[in-house]
Amino acid sequence: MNITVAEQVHRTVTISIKERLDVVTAPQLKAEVERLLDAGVVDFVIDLADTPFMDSAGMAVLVTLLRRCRMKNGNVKLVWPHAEPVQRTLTLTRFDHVFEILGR
Amino acid sequence: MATIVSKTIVLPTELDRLVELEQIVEAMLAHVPEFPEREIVQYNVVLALHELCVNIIKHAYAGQKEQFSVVFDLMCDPTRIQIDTYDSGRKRFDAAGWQTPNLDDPPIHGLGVFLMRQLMDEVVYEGMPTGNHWRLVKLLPEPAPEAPSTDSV
Repeated sequence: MNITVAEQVHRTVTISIKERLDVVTAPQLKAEVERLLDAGVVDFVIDLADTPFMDSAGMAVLVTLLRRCRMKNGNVKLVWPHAEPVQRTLTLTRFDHVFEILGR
Repeated sequence: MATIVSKTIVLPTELDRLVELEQIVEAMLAHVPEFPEREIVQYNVVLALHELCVNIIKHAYAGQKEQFSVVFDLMCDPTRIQIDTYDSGRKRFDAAGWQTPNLDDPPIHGLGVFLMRQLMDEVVYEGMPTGNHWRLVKLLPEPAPEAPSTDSV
């Protein structure tokens, strides 16, 4: 019997943000994704389902992460927020076109 | 263009104090009878003002320990909330040089002013000898019509 087994382990890290993602908290997220990028992670899911507020500083962290992951053939997916105002912010800025959206 | 209610606060240039803006905007809008999409309108005003204040703290004052004033006016005819900020920061905003970002390739910087302009009906900047003056205006939707009474007379 000639069997070839090939196993590929694909690592995706999910980060759930359940508090405000803003100019105060964005540096914490940035530090966490930097740590994961340094560890070789290039595929992320950012779960915004329960994020109540997001400003441009939070969005800047997401854009930076997306650019860095795509440079390494990775990707960043966003879980669509429940909060309608946050949804509208993502729509206004076309993040819903730039990022792959889950759970919309 | 009468003012219904007015409030002035002085904010320190501390980013973690900006969360307080939400309660102030909510209290101002509580003076207006029920109107459509109140939650979204309130959120949008808070977010636009938040972005403005972040710009004042990070750019106009470049992180220096200072303070600036925020004047809230709830006005009628048409019903609207008008917010004026006055800071004495040294750096001026380059209003003429500002361009709408390319949203197909979102920038890392510059989304704050874009959001302000999208979320508010009027965004006015005025550079003054003493600092910067910004005005944000949001027209409030007309109150939802009352359902006709089914009580017989």
